[in-house]
Amino acid sequence: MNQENNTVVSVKDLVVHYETEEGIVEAVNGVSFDIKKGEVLGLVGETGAGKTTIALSMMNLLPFPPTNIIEGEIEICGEKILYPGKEGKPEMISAKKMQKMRGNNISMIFQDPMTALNPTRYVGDQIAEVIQLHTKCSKKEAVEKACEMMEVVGILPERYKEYPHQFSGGMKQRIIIAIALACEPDVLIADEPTTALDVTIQAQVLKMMKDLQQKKDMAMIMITHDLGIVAETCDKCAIVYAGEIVEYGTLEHIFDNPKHPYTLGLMGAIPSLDKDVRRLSPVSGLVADPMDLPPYCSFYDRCDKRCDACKQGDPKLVEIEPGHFVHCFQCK
Amino acid sequence: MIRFIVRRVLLMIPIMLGVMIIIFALRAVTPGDPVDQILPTTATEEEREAKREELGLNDPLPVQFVNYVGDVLRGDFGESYTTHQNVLDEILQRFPYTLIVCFGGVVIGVILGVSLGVYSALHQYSWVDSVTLVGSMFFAACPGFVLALVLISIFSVQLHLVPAVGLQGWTSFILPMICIALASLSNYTRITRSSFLEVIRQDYIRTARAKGQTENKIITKHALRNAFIPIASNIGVQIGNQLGGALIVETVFGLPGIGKYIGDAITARNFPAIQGGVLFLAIVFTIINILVDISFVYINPRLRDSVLKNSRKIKIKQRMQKAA
Repeated sequence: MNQENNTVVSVKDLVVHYETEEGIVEAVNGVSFDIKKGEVLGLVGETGAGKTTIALSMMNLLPFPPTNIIEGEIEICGEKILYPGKEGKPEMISAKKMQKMRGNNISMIFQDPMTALNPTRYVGDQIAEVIQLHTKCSKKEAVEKACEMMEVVGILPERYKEYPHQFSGGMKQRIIIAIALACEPDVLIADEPTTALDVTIQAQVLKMMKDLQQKKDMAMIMITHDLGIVAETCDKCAIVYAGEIVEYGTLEHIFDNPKHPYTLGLMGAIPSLDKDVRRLSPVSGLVADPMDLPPYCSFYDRCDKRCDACKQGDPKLVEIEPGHFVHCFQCK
Repeated sequence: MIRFIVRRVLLMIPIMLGVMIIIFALRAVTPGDPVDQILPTTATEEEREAKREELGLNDPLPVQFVNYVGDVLRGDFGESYTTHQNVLDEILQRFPYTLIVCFGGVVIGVILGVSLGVYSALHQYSWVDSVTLVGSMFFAACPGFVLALVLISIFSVQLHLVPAVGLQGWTSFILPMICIALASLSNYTRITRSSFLEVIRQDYIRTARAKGQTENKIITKHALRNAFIPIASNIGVQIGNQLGGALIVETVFGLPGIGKYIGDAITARNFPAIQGGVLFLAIVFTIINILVDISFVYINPRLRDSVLKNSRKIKIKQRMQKAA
């Protein structure tokens, strides 16, 4: 019972398609995961693997059209965001309820800090806005709280009345983090929060996010394609390929005992300080085209362990040891 | 900020000089003797010669031009050939009418155009969007006088709602204003639509949604101000068009504004009035554009920085001293 209550995020069999003029893009194909309070899940995958689509469907921010949610259930903080409705079509939470949850229960840090802030409004006001939306307080109190948040992320509150263009990329990302954390959400989604930043700033921002996450005991989803970031910040990790989770487990499972050929391939592409490797081995081939996914294992074409059995059907996510799931016929 | 304004005002000088050269050249190259217009046909050659000497028409052109500029600078736009009144006085008397019609037209046009543009952008490809697009294009393509005559025949002749011509209280301004507003409507609508479509696809709008902001407030608090930047620059240019359009509108509606004044002056070859009117409109146009430039600085903070570069440097210096 207690364990049940600890789960703040639950995603079940999420399938999301984009219906474009060129065809149907199968962005997410049956993704399930749970996150407990205070836990950090890393979603790792190549560009176009569907990571951001998963995040946006949790925020209920997918654009309609072209999005079509085929099936799935999403529950955040006990509130059903997406649930099976009549006629098999999933139904979404009302827009009004979702507005109350966004920024309050669930927040998101976006990929590109350069464009994520409104260029014509004070950065401080942009933080105060979210506070005023979700807490019953006067404008003055919201401003005070916004100044506090600026201090928390390491920006002088005197800069409240400045515009985004007067800030560097790293500082803008701090402001965005301040916006995301201002109402102390239960769930934080960070969508490649450091991709646009240089390495030294990356380390600072990540450390700050991790500290804040631990202090507030938030559940967090870290979306990235950098396994180094996962190793540093996450408790659990899901490797995403072509809209499916191909391997899921704790950091130990993924880093010390990777099973799925794709995970192994990713590991082989990381330079190591201990081993004297002449060349890194990249995963050969290109990401499977989400407009044209095969009926069998979508990694088949790039897999170096493939066999005829792999073409027989799409494998299921199988638990090979407690808490370690792999999406492959060959791993048992 | 003051430096910026002063710089913009100083830029007016070469513009005005250029305008005056063109206005002056216009008269110099136009065939016909102005004296014919002033004196009765019965005047003798001596009288005509004396008049020419009095007006300085016998001086070499450069001297005439310098005299002209000097007169203008002293606020002397010359004396109307037909009424023998001071041209500037006559213009100032008529200017309020043009101002009301033009500004009323611009305000109606902007309000209508921006709302239609925003609505079209939010309901892209809906029937309202198509109707707006076709309708505003129709009004833009329709010549001003045709539109004016149609409006008169509907609202004055058929419905008797407003006076057709002449100045009979504030109702006389309604149709001219609408006429001017409709002519510029397509411009505002299309610019608002495209600029708004661009803005609502920006990341910061998504950020606002992620904050849990309501859709209405996202439009009013986040999207409109950003979308307004290209609209504002367009307003400045449009006002220039409308000052020119006032000539036709005022003539059709028989309003005693500057447009009609210049129109009458052209048919009467009343050069001082033409020159004065055109110069006055040019000054008004330049001043409006300076105002638009200044308003820009307030709408777009990125510009404000380059304008306030110096004051910002001082601020940073003060902050550093404070910190030290």
